Amino acid sequence: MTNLDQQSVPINTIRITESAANKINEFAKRDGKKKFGLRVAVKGGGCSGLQYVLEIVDSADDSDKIIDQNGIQVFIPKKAFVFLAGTVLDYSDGLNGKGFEFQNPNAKSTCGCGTSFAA
Amino acid sequence: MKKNAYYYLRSNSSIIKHSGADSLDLLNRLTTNELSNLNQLNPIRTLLTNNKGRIVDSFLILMRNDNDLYLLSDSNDLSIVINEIEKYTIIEDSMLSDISKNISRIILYGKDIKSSLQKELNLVNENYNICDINGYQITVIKDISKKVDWYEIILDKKNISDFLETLNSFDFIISTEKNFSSYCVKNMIPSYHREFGLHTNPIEAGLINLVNFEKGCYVGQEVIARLLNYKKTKRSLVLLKSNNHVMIGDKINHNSLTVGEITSVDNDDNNALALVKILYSKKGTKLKINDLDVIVTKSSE
Repeated sequence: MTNLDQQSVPINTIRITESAANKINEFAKRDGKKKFGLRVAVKGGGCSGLQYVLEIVDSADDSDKIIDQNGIQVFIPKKAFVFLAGTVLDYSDGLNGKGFEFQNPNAKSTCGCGTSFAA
Repeated sequence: MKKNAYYYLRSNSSIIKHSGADSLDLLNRLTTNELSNLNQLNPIRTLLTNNKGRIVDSFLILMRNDNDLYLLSDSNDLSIVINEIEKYTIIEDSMLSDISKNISRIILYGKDIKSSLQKELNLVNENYNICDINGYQITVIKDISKKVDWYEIILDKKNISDFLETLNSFDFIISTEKNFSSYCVKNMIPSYHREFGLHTNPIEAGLINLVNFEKGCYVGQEVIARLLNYKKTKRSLVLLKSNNHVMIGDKINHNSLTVGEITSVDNDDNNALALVKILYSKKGTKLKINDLDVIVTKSSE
């Protein structure tokens, strides 16, 4: 797992770690996508009320904020960015790995499985 | 002989219109029941709980068309429900509006209500029908979540006088708020603000049938699952019988210990609903309200 200092991420962006970027590239390659972006969003639902959305997409929507991180274009809907500013997206592999993991400074609490949070 | 078929006109119809392509998906992610089977012929009741597992509202969802849902709420203050859903609406195509002032809502109940409605309105479907009456339409919905035959009718408010006359012509009996409340007490049907609300979770309020434990996450799911699996619920809804009148708010005692409180009363038959500590909620438990003996005749536990 890549350990990034949460406080090192400016609040006007989000950070994708190298391991997360590698995994996203792997998924995109498996799906045969040469040009793609990673849509990161937040929607209602989950135990704590807000769920993360991760999706490999072809292009950004008009209202998306676009960020380049470790060779990945990240598309974030502006309405969702308020909940994601300063977040680190990491990936940990292996038997004890958690898969994709959000370290979100806006999350006041997180549910047990880590897929939802309260802001 | 009069039919055992009653109608109760709600003073506030409490209906929310929920529009948008993501409205159903959003409600499925936020509320306790599985809504993927919802369709026009199959309305579903569900609970909106908060992240502490407490009940914000109970509503029956009707699908009017692909993009419009009607939420028939139990609450009289729809702003709380609307605000709670809007709090979790981020990127979804979803819009909520209170349409109560344009629509009337009638609850029908009683032993003969099913057969009487079928005869008078020629109902074709089991749970959802649109019927033509004197040149206007009414929607008849069966709420299968209730343990008794329970129907709701919604119609344009401008036709309500005519429709009430029609119900009278069917020999249905008008129900006052007191009659309606007594019926709910006898049948252990919890009412909003009394037996359930932000002071209760679905398990203690006897509404566990509205929680689907296989659907996955919704707001409050972790708390509710923990309460159930570790048997952490502290109270239970009970039906009490006494030999005299009791009042809402009366404290229920066991020896000198207060173990619960009366939440609704049916003083015609000296029945009452109460939220009582689990240990004292078993059927047959003898309790006291001041000097009056009361006995638990039914428990939701």
